[in-house]
Amino acid sequence: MALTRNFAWLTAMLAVALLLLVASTLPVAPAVEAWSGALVDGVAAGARDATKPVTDLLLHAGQLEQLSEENARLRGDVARLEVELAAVREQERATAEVAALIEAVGTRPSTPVAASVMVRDANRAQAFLVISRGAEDHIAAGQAVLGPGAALVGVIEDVQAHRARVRLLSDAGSAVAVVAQRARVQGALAGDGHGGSLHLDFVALDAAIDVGDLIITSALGGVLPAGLPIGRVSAVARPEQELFASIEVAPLVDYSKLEHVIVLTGEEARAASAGPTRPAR
Amino acid sequence: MSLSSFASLVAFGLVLLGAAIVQVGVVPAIFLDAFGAPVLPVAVLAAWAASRGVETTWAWAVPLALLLGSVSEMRAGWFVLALIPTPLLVAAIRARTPTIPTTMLAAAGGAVAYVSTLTLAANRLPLLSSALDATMRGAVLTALAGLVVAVALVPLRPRERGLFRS
Repeated sequence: MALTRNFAWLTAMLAVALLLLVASTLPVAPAVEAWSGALVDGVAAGARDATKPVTDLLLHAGQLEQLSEENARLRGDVARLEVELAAVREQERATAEVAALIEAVGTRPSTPVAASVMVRDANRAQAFLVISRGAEDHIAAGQAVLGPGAALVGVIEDVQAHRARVRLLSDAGSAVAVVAQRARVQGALAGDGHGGSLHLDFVALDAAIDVGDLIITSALGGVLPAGLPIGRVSAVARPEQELFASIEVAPLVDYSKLEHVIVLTGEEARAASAGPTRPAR
Repeated sequence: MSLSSFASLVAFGLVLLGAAIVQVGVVPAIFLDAFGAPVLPVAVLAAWAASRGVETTWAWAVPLALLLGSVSEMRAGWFVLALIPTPLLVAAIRARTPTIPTTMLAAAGGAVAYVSTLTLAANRLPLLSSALDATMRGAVLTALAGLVVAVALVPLRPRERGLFRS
């Protein structure tokens, strides 16, 4: 008897699943999803904020020595960066003149919009974030999303009125045109799908790329602004039987700890204007 | 259905939806490798199904899937399919096994089935082989979470009524 009832339930659940999959193709589905998503995102973000002291404690328990070492290293980095900053300021004056020229020919600069991370995708096979800004804040698909240190962390995937989904670079479906800053080697950066390192593909075996090289976005893709830092090469293997080198890149930012991001609005329009154009007939 | 049974069923629903909120809001902040995280809603489903009966569990997969689907690229229907194996496993194991082991086995198996279904639905099956260790770690943590919930549910387990029943 129980077997029959369970079989009936199983059949009913399969039917409901199919019904929901079919219903998700209806025109009304995105509106329902936006409404329910906004509700759940808000509650989930509230739960995350409320438990933040506890989760921070769990994450950093026993890491005091490591944090002290990291602090000392960061202080060293700050001192070095201050020296570099002085040199950069000298270059700034020259760059300003070039920027004025670019402005004169009509390229729109990007406007950064800050957003907080509301929730992560419930499907762990997809590295997506939901952020608290949407179309009302001039967010559009294809725009670059930056994390701490202005490092690129992802790209806007789709947008609703007051929220947007970000595909992180670690997502298995992510691919970004990049260049190794020192060696000027071009490649495609892809995610590994579970929050670990990134893979730099299509780099020739004899390319002069090495561990520690900074990877930045390339203008080659025509979608993202060039020069945004992403990560550093963490491992290089050159198997003789392969056509390309196997290169791993460690992101500059821990994607799992993102709480706030910056969206470069205006990039989508830039990408559109950078696309191929037909001569007028 | 008695009033107390109805009240405990509603309480279970709230705990289950709370587990889903914690899953999407809090768990990603603690477990940096997504595949290595426990699946709390699966743990709660398994514990309830093993302690209170599978037939009172099935229907809860639908609101749970709607909630999880609303914060995912994946359609809610896929979440229903991903949650179905948990009560199914409990139904298969429960007749021959005590409550606690049933919960742990169903929670671990349900977690693997949940992750596999959603990875398959996202067309990213190769990820599963590369994240096999992490998935197993997530399954063990889900089993432990199921154990905690099952122990908490012991006072609510249905008992035969009557003064002198042995």
